[in-house]
Amino acid sequence: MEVPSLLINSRFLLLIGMVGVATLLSSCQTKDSVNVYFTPKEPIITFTQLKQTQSGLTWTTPKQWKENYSHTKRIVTFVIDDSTQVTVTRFEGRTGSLIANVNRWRGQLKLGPTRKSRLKYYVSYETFNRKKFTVVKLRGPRKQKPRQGLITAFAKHNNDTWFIKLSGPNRTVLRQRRQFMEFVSNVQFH
Amino acid sequence: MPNKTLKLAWLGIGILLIVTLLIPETNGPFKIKQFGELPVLEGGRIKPLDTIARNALLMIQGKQTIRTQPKSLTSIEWFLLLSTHPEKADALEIFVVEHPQLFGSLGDKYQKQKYRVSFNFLKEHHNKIITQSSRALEMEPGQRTPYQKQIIALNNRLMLYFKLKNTFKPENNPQFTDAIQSFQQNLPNALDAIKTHSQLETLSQEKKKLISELNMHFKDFQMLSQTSNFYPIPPFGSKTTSDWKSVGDSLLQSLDITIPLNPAVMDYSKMLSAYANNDSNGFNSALASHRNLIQSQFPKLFYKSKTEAFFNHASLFYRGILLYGLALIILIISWIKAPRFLGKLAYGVVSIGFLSHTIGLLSRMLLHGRPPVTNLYSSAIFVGWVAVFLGLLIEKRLRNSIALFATTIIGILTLIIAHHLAMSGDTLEMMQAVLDSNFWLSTHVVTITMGYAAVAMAGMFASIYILMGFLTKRLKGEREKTLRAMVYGSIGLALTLSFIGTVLGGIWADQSWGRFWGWDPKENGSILIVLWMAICLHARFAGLVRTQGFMVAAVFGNIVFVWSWFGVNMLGIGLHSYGFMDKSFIWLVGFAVSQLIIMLIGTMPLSIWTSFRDEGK
Amino acid sequence: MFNSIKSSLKKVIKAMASLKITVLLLISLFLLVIMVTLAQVDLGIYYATQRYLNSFAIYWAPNKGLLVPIFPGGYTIGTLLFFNLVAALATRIWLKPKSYGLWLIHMGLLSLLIGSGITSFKAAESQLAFSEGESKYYSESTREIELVVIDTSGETKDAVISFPEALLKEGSELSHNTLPFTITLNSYSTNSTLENKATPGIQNGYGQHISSRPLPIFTQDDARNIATAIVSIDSDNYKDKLLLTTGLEATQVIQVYDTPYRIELRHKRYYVLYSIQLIDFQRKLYPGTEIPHSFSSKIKLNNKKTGEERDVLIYMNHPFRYEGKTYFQASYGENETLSVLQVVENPGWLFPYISSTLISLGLLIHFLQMLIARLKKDQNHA
Repeated sequence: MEVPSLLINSRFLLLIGMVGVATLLSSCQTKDSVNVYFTPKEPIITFTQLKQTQSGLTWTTPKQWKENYSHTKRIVTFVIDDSTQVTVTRFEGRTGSLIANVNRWRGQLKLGPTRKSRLKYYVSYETFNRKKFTVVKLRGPRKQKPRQGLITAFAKHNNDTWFIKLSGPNRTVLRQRRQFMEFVSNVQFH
Repeated sequence: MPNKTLKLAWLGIGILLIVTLLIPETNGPFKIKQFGELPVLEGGRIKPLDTIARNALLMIQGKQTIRTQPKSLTSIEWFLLLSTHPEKADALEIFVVEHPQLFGSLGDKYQKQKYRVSFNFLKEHHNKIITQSSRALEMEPGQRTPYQKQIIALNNRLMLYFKLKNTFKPENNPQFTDAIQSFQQNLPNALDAIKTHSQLETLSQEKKKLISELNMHFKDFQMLSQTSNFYPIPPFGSKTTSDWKSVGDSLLQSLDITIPLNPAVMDYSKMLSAYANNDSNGFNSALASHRNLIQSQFPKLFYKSKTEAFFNHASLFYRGILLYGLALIILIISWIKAPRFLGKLAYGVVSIGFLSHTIGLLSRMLLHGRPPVTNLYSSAIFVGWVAVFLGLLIEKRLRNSIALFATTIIGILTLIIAHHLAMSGDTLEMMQAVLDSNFWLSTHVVTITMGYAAVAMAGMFASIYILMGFLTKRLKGEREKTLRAMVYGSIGLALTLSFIGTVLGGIWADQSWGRFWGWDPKENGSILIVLWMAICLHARFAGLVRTQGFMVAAVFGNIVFVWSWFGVNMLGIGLHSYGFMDKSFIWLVGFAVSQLIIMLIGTMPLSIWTSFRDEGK
Repeated sequence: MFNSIKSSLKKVIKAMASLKITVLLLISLFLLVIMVTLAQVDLGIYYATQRYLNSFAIYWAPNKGLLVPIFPGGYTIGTLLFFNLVAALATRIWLKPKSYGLWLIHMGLLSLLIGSGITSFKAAESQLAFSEGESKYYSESTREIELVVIDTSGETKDAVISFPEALLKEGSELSHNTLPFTITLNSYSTNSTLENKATPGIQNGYGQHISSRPLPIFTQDDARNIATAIVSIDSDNYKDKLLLTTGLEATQVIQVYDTPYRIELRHKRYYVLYSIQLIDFQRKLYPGTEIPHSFSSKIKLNNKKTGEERDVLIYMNHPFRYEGKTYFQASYGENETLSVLQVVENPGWLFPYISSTLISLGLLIHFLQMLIARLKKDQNHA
């Protein structure tokens, strides 16, 4: 028995060819074209929030402060003006005694070391959100132009000590003091 | 008349085989064979001590016996020596070192590619080994140089050795049995002393001593529990495999006074101290006591363990190699003399070898509870088995001794390969989670491996066609036709099996991973075989090649097959660092070259082939 | 006229059906598979497959910007084989008793070729990583990137406009008729590293704090690349410049004509209309070893549409198939509390089954026919 004529064969061929070409063509476009679809609403995570989750500290940035993350050893730096800034840092484990820390900061202001008995003039304690903060206020030497100042609030959380430090010309520091304390009172550790 | 002689010869070889099976490897007053049958847990399964000792010695030394004077040591004897007289074992030169740069600076003796050194020697250079191997371990496996691979291997051998030595007892405590006994006796008092101590009463000297002794024992036991290579202490009253414990763990557990010390700990300890003191009665009685316990509590496990020890001893695959080799020699002689008689004799010898091969394969399957192919080692054994099986079938029909010759060679080669693959450890290893499917192992893997066997047969038949035609006058008439048909048939079979096997693999992948094909090297290897077989057939149909070209193509199939079988595995390690020092790589290249030479001969004009030279005239 | 067309068609088809072409194509495919296997050492499976198989030609680049095709790629060989096979089926291999086997084999091959075409164009693989307790309704590609603009003004739903990776090239301009602005890619790199340094010229978003440096692509199969782009956003009343990266899980929102839009570069997402929650991940080892015996994830499927809510166990060799997707256990992490499922969607999944049945059947029939013929011949001889 002879095979059906070429006509039937070519129909057959055409059919298969078309199936093949059609599948290939239809499949070509979908992968590389723009798609539009709807999804459930997803939470918005800002860069600040991301940094907060990564660092373990949540804060609200006051309006005039500008966040800066370029200093890798700090959690965050807030730039208030060219010479005034707030830094947030975390140290693991032991961070030295209170007097050692105070004297370190005095050194930064070009002041000589002080004695333990005089600490009460610089140091106060505040409790925010059931967290006890040690607050240290220092002013630089009077002859300094402009005179420098700093306020540091620090607290322990788990194994870490967190330092929040406002520093700059004393005049600006005094002006920012309320803002700063409000910032400290609002931070949350997690 | 010759028929009778034949039968006698077969019978003789068969009896020889059985008798050699029954001769014990070791004899003497100590029942060492029975000791080797004791079941322990290692690598996730229960196996006899004999297997542990054999595999360990294979990994450390590359051989299962140690040549010493006056008589050589079997694996299990070595293990006993290691556990009882570590200082003697440490002096044996058993550690294989396979790189000249490792200790080459120490003298000519160490500049060889491969040599063996003792543990004492390595101890002197321990620092170097540790620093070098930890540095090497930081590298990605693919980036390591041959030197680094060797130093890691050597370090692994050392660790294995150290752990084995400290599994039953701490190596530096020869009086361990006494220690356990005094520990047991004094434990209640010592614990009592500790209790009163915590109530801040002053302690008598005697009690202080009790506590410090307990502390010492505790340290010993802790070390034992950490260094244990395997878990020999069975959980009486539990059927869970994971409840088997190391000697150290068992002893630590008995610090809780409500838990009695597992009798197996004492039995093992007694066996070893008796062996150390050359006290065969003590050894045998402790052994018997432990065997009775195991027999009553775990009769099935014990039976399996004994069976495994027996098959270790029987080394059926090794016997297979010997018998196949004998058959090959007979076959070669048969070409010159008495072809009918010797051909039949060879057929019988191969059959007996095949029987040994088959029993070995079956016993592996039974012991493992798995289909025949579970890893590279067993695939080698199975390729050979399938080839010899088909060879015997073809031979029975055609009686031209070509099929028998070819497949016997495949049988020998694959069994030798398997023998070398066994060096890497337990060949009955547990399956990785992904591969844990008996259904797919017995369909996909078995079919693929059968396909390998068919490819190898096609390649071997074609090689014989080429060599016989080129070198001899025998490739003529009916013989030429049959041989040609054999190559065709094998290629068709290879295509069928490889294709079905590959597709089954795809379906397995789709079932488990949702994708049919992933283009990973192993998959590519198998598709290459399918493609090459298809190319062979289509090129022949298209008239692009004639018989001669077809044969050459079939020989090339061997290279494709070996690439797919082994080359792909080497890719996984990384081609970059694949130093040409590596032995298996050299063999692989050597094999490919040999096939290329045969192909080259195959492409010579037919007019210079010995078989066809006269045809033109 | 008709006849002449017919006869020339006949000639063309005959030529196309040539067995010599078949052999040539098979050899090319053989070489291609060898190349792709060797290339995997350097490129990893994904990139090797992309370059050699999911392409029309393999190029040689002697100079930058100059591409010389030197070998046909997988698409070319596949297409040619397809036509060669169709032509052969139409002319030579026809259904007749003597060649039932052959016909079945080649029909099966045809279906295999079509199936692999569909697979390589339409199949998508992605991963779903979740911790115990977490619920997810989408999976992410490990390689493919998309740039999405999300209109978040809707009350319950976000509208997502996704630009595929193929469109993400330096200098390209992305627009869509539902968007009031265009996005121009000032730069785009498939892999990069991030630094804590402001990107010059950026006044908005995390680009003020972060900048990127391009890196060569990591091709290893388990390596992850960090894609980064700097884009300009342009509309009549809004102009902005943003840094986008897959390396940060932070959102950037811009307001154009009072509509808040999120703009993100992310691993391509595949959403489903149900959710999957990981209840428990478990890993079991063989006793006394570190060899894993099994991995399993217990998940809860929740489909509000169909009202389905049930637990499913996914473990090795037992994937979960649901609405065209297959979920299988791929990896785990974080002390065995995080599970990673591979998600595969392949509309062509049935083809290999059809073709393997056809081909296996065909091979068996053919082989048996040959064997029987051979045996008969032998008997006649004897």
